[in-house]
Amino acid sequence: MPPNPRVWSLLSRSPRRSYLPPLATYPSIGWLLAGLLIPVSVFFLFSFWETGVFTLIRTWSLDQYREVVTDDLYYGLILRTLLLGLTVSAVVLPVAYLGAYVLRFIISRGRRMILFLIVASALASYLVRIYAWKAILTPAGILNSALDSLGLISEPLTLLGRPGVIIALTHILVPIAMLPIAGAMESVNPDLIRASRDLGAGPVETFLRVTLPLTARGVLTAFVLTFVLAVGDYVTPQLVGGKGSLMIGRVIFDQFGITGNYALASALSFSLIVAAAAFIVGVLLCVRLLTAGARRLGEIATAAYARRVRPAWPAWIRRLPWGHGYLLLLLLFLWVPLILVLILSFNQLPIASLPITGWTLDWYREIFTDQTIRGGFGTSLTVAGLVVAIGLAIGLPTAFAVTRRTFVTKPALMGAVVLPIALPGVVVGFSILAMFRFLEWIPSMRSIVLGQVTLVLPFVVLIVMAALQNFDRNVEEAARDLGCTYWGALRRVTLRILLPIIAGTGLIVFAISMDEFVVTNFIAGTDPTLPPVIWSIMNRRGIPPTVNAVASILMVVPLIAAVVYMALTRRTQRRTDTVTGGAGGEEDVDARLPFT
Amino acid sequence: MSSYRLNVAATAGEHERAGPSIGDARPAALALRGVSKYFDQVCALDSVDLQISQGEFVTLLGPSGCGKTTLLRIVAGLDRLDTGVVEISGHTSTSTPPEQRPVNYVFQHYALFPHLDVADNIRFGLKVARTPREEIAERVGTALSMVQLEGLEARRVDQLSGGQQQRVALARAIVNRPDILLLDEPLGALDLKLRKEMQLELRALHRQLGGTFIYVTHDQEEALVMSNRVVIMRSGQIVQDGTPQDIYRNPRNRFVAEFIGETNLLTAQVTESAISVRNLDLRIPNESYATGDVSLSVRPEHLRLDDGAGTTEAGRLSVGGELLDSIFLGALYRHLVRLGDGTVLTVQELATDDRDHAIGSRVVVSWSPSDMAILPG
Repeated sequence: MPPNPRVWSLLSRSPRRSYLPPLATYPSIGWLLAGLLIPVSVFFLFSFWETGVFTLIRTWSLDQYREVVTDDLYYGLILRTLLLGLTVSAVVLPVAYLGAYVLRFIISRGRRMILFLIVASALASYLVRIYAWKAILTPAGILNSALDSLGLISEPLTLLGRPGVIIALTHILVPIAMLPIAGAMESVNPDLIRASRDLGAGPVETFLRVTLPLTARGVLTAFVLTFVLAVGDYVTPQLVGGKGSLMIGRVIFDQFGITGNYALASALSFSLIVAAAAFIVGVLLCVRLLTAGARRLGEIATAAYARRVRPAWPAWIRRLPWGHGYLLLLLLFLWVPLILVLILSFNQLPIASLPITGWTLDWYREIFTDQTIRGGFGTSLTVAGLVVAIGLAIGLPTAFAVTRRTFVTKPALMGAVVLPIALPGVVVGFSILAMFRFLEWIPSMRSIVLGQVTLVLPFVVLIVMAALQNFDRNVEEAARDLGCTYWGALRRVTLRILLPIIAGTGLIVFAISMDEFVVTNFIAGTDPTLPPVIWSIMNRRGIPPTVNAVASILMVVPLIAAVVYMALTRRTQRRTDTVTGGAGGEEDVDARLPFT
Repeated sequence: MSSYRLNVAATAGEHERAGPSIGDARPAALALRGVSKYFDQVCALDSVDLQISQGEFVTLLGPSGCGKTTLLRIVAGLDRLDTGVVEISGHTSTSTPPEQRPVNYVFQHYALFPHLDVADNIRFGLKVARTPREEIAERVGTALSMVQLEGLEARRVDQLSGGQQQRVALARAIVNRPDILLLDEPLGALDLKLRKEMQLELRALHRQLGGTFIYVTHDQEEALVMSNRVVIMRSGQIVQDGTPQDIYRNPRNRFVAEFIGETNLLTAQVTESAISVRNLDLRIPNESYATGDVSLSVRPEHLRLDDGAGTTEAGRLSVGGELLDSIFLGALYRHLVRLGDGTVLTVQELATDDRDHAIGSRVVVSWSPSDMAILPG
């Protein structure tokens, strides 16, 4: 006779409640400790030490923080950087939101293709995109030379500086901001908007009281992403900033190369993180206060709408394809600079200017003979191969464990997993460098692999987790029922079905690794990968035209990876949708809304 | 709670007198004893006892969340149980992993392997068991013809219709010749017409194979159509277990009466001398019931509608009411009658003559006491 089940269950309440993470997550935890948590802690420690020239003196002091707080150069810079982050967010978010809105609710043709083109532009090398803007905006650059040859200007416009930084950052951040916003938008049922209109709310009130609140989470995620990336950037100000647009990321970076004041760099970094966090919290609080205002505004708008106080546009204006027009402009903004770099790589003249006078393949030939570039390319391939192998080997088990097991420490683990993309790259890079210095190890390929695996881990875990959450576990159970052991079912069925997604993830990781610059630049040490090599060439006086050729290669490789990834994952998606008999056909639902 | 316990205890005794098809001399295909399952603090199965003989087609029937799927998964070994014993074909299998149990499972959403074609899906189990190649070919061929899928061997499973996928799932299970075939609402995703066809096919398949089928559904009509034994579950317990006829005619309580078929329920009070319905002029002499509240259950087809002009047949019980609506259903009429206390009765009559009762008129509803069940609570 078994014990009374009710009593038994009360007595044995906790044996399944597990506190420790499953074994499968230990490799990832170990890697995150070595590649992020310990380095950041060590780097943090530095801020409480004193500093000599390129050395640290291990006596405790708060001098660094005193300097940050009292020297108006530093706190002024932090403040200016935060304001710039806010400005960039204020430009990026509306642009991205409108794009996502049009994609979801206004147009129906070509949605997949357009979204893919927008997201793919984000994969086209970060360094190349900033470089493209430099080539466009410099006094003797593409824009000025084109305007000049058209006789529109007599002397070059000053475009570098603050406007340049904002334009380049917008270009980089719009696709990134669109992802969470489009995701939130996708889950808004268009019938909700129709229902709101049916219940008497005007278009503005419907937007303010239905659409915006339902997508608010995506917008806030996009804001945090945009803000953190803009604030931690040190490359953009360097290339397109010109004089007078110094940002804090740059100053921190200079402590690594020029001044060698690690203690100050650390204090600046952590002051920046604290200030940025406080700033974000402040903005989020303001958003709360704004909600009530938005409601009132919506009521006023509806009242006005009911009284027909609105411009009566002629029919032909309303019939214009506004949605496609806007997306076309957005795509041009995202792609024209990249295509220009590609065109310039075939330009005969060794200067970046339009119009093109003749075509050549010389620059490509030249890079294959350049020892530094070839060395960088070789290192990049080795590193990328290692990063893909290790990243998948430790990321896959973690994704499985996190999706399928319950344990109390799961939120903490997930927090640690996404931390590498939540921290400014300048801090992650400097931290790993700091740890190597502390241990008196010389940065080399080891440190690059350590850092890059840490950086790609969030991508591996999040992508595979998403795939596993959609994976019909009954299929695996069916394999068990038909005679497979646990591991047999995993091998013959689960991994086999997820193979395209795993391969796709490997490709994405490969592309990220080939392109990663912000962190790698700190830790490349004796074995620089391709991006740091190009960076050093770009920073020379008179950029050699070979850069266009390398940049084009760096840009095209991830794009090919992206196309292959799309092809691979789409097939899996389609198959799993139809076989599980699930509701996979939402694509066909017409989400377009009538707007009057 | 205690009454349920009594029910569960009584279930064991039920088998012996429930007719030749249940619990007879055939050996047990499945025996569950005191099986309980908890998800966190929620009880999914509460000390369930169940015996199934070889060759039976048993349906587990109950509303969603009653534990029927959990029970099936525990038999398959896909879920662990917290207490109790599972015996399959006479062997204790409580902690046997799913791959070593002589049972096969047909999933609600089929769970076909999307990376394999039809034939590879069906031969999966045989290949894992290292069956000789010629035997695989032969058995797969037989299974394909049983589910009428010949010619589709090389089709990818995502190119099949829902009904075809259903057949592949069925073939993939029966090709292994399991001692027990477990079917978890396998027809739930099909449209009504196809579902009715498949119900009959499954019955035929059961006769042809002669194995034990355990079928889970929440559709009471399906349960009546398909099986020779229905087990009704609620809140993780077995409420009633018997032939479809027995359960329809002698429901054990209000829940079963309402769940199986349609019924009219009247709450009544039992006193020493009589059973009477509050606010209605209806008294039945009490012969054997203990005092307290009971429910009177009469199926709609056992009620008769009169305009009250003539006299009620001797021995029939009757109540007066107002005709709310009459609905023509082709073969049947359905009348809704509101009684004095507000209760609405459903009366179902064959539509042989179109006697017109005016909506809103006074009518008399009558029934024979032998068609009425008196249920606790």
